[in-house]
Order: sequence, then structure tokens, then C-alpha cells
Amino acid sequence: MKQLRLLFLLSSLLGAGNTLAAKIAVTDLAYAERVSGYFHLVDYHNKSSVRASESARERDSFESSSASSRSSYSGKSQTDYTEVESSYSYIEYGELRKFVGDIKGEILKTGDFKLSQAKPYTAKGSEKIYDIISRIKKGAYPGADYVLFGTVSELDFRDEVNPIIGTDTLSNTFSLMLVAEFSLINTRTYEVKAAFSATGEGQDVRVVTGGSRVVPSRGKVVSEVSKSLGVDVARQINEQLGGGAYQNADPVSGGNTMQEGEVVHFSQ
Amino acid sequence: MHLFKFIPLVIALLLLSACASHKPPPRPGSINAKVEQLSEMSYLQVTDLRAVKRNHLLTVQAEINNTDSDNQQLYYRFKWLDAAGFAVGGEEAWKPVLVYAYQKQTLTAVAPSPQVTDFRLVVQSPDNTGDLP
Repeated sequence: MKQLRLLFLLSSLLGAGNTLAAKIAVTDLAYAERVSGYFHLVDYHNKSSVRASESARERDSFESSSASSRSSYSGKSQTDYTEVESSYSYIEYGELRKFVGDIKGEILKTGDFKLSQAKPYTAKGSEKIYDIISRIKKGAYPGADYVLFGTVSELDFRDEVNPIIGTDTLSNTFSLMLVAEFSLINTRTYEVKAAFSATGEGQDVRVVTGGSRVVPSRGKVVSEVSKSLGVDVARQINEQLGGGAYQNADPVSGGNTMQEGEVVHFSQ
Repeated sequence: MHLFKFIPLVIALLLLSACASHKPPPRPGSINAKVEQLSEMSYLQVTDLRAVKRNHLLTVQAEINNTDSDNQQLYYRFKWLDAAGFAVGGEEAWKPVLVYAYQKQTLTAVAPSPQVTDFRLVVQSPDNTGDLP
């Protein structure tokens, strides 16, 4: 920690654009998701055939006459019926290639760090994605002094409709909340310099009257989540490393401090 | 010559009158900062004002007190403002409320949009004593 602080001090003394600023590589957010499914397969085959033949012969002469006839009929029917029912479940590992752009932007804004590009994890998803030491050793973060390793804890979409008291209108809220855990790891000593969980939240609220239908803007929500996550990450890194004063207004509320459910009482 | 003696007095009087005509700005966070009266009201008074954010929409509740022994007519409307101080939505219609003698009336309103972060309650009463601005 002392070395890092010294690095910050030197970097602030020498100003921006210096070569001493610690280099951070920001990973895409790793996730593990349980995928469950159910299938019910019914296979039904029916094959039937009918064969009929008939022949008749008649012979007539002066001395005799004869007649014969033959007919045959055969039928065949075959039915195959297979029914399979099963459920399956597996854990899918991967990296979420979203939401880190604003984290990088906000880290750059602090002025204490430089960024280096991390190599994406493209191998077939397995639990190895969490083996950050092996990924560092394999050279996934070239030139980086630190790796900001993030994993998704929860990603929660909500679509709610609530009546607005005292009116005949409804409030349609489409929101997304992303909680991710981060560790800032030294690429040489594997020391964890900072660890925290950060939250990104975004919502699209529309006021609707009965009967009308609104389509929420998913783009707006995702953009808000990304921005607020970036601000939260930069704030917490700054807090834990004790760097310079990082200040950024909440981009979602535009600096408005009134929280949901908080009552503001105006005095006489 | 005697007239010059009165010049300081006249200046002082002018200064005093200037001071008297300019009220100090209302304290931030006070009811007066949120209520716009179209003139001074004799009998009606906003005695309580509170706001809460519910479902991301600003909800405001105001309590109007009538101190008179007669019923008083009140007209009110809300001005909704965003974080930059710009008005959100069109101008609301004036809403009439009859406040009975010595009674309190509660007004409630919900902002028309989640962008609303601030408001002003505009009130007027026909029995105002002051002049309209």
C-alpha cells in the first residue's frame, strides 16, 4: 500500500502524462450462470399397408366349361411410439462484454492510473475463468501492474407497474440492477490492493394511463447501469487506495440527492 | 441654504424605503421557498409542506390552514421543475379548493414525470389583502 501511495504521490507531483502512473488492466465481468431446461419429446410413427389382388379365369368350350377365381387380401399396420421427458441443468461460464467501458473511463478520470488492454477470455467457458493467477501468468494482461478483476454477483431486470396514488395513471418502471465484485490484484506479487462490490442501477420510468402501452428503452437503462457502475468503481478504488479527491455527481439523478421513499419536510 | 440640511434625511428615507420594498430572499428548505403567493393572503396559510419520491415520481403534500371564521376560497396549481430548473410539462390549470372556517385542507399532487426534482406551489385567494404583482 505504501508503495502504491508513493507511486500516486510521485505521479501527482510529475503531473499527467507521466510514465510512473500504475497501469491497470480491467477484465470483462466474469459470470457463472446456472442454465436449466426441460424437454418433452414425443415420437409417433404409424405405417400401414393394404394389399388386395383378385384374378378370375373362365374357360368355355363345346365339351366343357370351367371357371375359377382367386382373390387375396392382406393388411399390415405398425405403430412406434416413443416418449422421453427430462430436465437438465448446467453452469455456464463466460465474460460479459459490456459495462466495463465506463469503468475504464472513470478510472482514467481519476488521473492516478493508466490503462492497458486486457486480452479477452475466449476459451470454452469453465471454472478456470476465475483462476486469475493462471490468466496473469499466461500473459493475458500485457504491461499491466494491476488487474481489476470483476465478477457478476447479480443481474436483476425488473418490470413493474404501480398505480400513482390520487390519479388514474400508472407508473411503468423498467429497471436493471447489476452488482459486481471487484479485486485489484498486483500482477507481480498477486497482492489484493483493493476489493469491493459495486452497484450499477438504471431505470426507465414512464407514466401511462389505462389502456396505453409503453415500450421501455433498454438502451437507456443499460447506459445508466454502465455509467453508475463506472462511477461507483472509481469512487471505491479511490476510497480504498486513499488517492486524490475523486468527485463525480451521480449521473442518473443529475446530482439530485432525494432518494426513493425519503420524506423532505419543509420548515416554516 | 436650509434645504441642504434635509438632503441627508431625504437620502436616508430613500434608502429605508428601498430596503422596505425588497424582502430578503426566502430561506432554502423553507415553505416560503417553495410557495409562490400571487399576493399576501390574509386568512389562508400554508402550514405544512412535505415531499417524497414514490415510484420515482415526486409526490407533494401541502396543508392549508384557514384562520378566519368564514369559509375561504383558494386557487392553486403546481409548477414542476427538473434538475436544471426548467419547467416540466405545460402549465397546470388552476384548481379551486374551499377551505372551511378554522379548518385545515390537505392538497396532494404527483409530478407528471420522473425528471421532476423540484416544485413550486402557486396559490391565490380572492380575499387577498395585497395587490397583485
